[in-house]
Amino acid sequence: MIMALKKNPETIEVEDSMSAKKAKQLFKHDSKPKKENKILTTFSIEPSFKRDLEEMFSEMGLGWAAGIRFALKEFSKKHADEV
Amino acid sequence: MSKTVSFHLQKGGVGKTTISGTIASQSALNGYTTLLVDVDPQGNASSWFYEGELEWELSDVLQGKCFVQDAILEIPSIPNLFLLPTFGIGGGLKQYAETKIADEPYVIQDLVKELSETFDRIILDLSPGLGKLERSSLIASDEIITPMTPEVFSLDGLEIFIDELEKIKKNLRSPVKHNKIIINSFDERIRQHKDIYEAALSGSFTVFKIPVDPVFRKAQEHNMPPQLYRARGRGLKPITVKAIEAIDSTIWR
Repeated sequence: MIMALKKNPETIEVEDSMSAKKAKQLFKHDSKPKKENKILTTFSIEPSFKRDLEEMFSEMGLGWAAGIRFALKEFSKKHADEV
Repeated sequence: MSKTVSFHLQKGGVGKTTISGTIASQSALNGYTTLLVDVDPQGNASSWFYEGELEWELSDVLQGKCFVQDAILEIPSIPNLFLLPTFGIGGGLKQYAETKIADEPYVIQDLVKELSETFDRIILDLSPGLGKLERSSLIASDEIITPMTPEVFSLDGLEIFIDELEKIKKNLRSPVKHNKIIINSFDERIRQHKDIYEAALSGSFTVFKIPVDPVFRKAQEHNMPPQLYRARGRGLKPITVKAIEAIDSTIWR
């Protein structure tokens, strides 16, 4: 007697393939809002003042650029609070 | 206004040359003066569209051995299509890429700027990899479109490329756009291909797909653009033609 094929109830549903998982992860990451890029800015400063600042930043574990960014952010926060 | 596009992923075998040549042909067939620049030392795009011997190639132009007009060829079978070739055998681009280009990363950008005065559209066909030649070409482009095949190594490649391109853009101060991908050799019967395509659609890229079509390979063997190739009256599949038209109508905006 011919019978219709029946699904084996013990069959495990196939999970996403490696490439499908990878693709989901990659494109999900890609759709996240990106961190804003930095632009280069330059300014002049007295050498003695620069040395003082470099020393201060160095004690805080910061390089020149990171120190300047940190200092400007702090200034900006303080100024925003005052306003 | 002229626009320059590169189809690039550092991984090999994803269809960079095939897509570059096909889209260049489509643009030319639509009436736009289009230049295909062969920036691949293997010179596959050149041997696809031209048979015979030539005097000058891209590396000669870059080294000031000839005028750019001396090296550019008109492709007779495709009105409006021009080629700046590279010799796969005996050519100088590989050596140039390994030596002199390090001192002049903006040389391709300067060349493209000059060519933009003559051509409506420029396509740079690059070799696999992300060496100095490829970097110079990428920053000379207005837009990079990534071709990939629907498999895991291409996904790895794309992840690496996105990361590397950010560094290139930062270091070489380039505003080049990268927001489109082409999934090449797509076969809708394969679940893996569909999964990757659907995942790609959910991201921020504009996604195109080009189906598997043997006419690409046959057209290349006969030095013809796929759009004009016919074997026993048959050419590209209608779905392939639509895919090419969709890419062409979007990327030049």
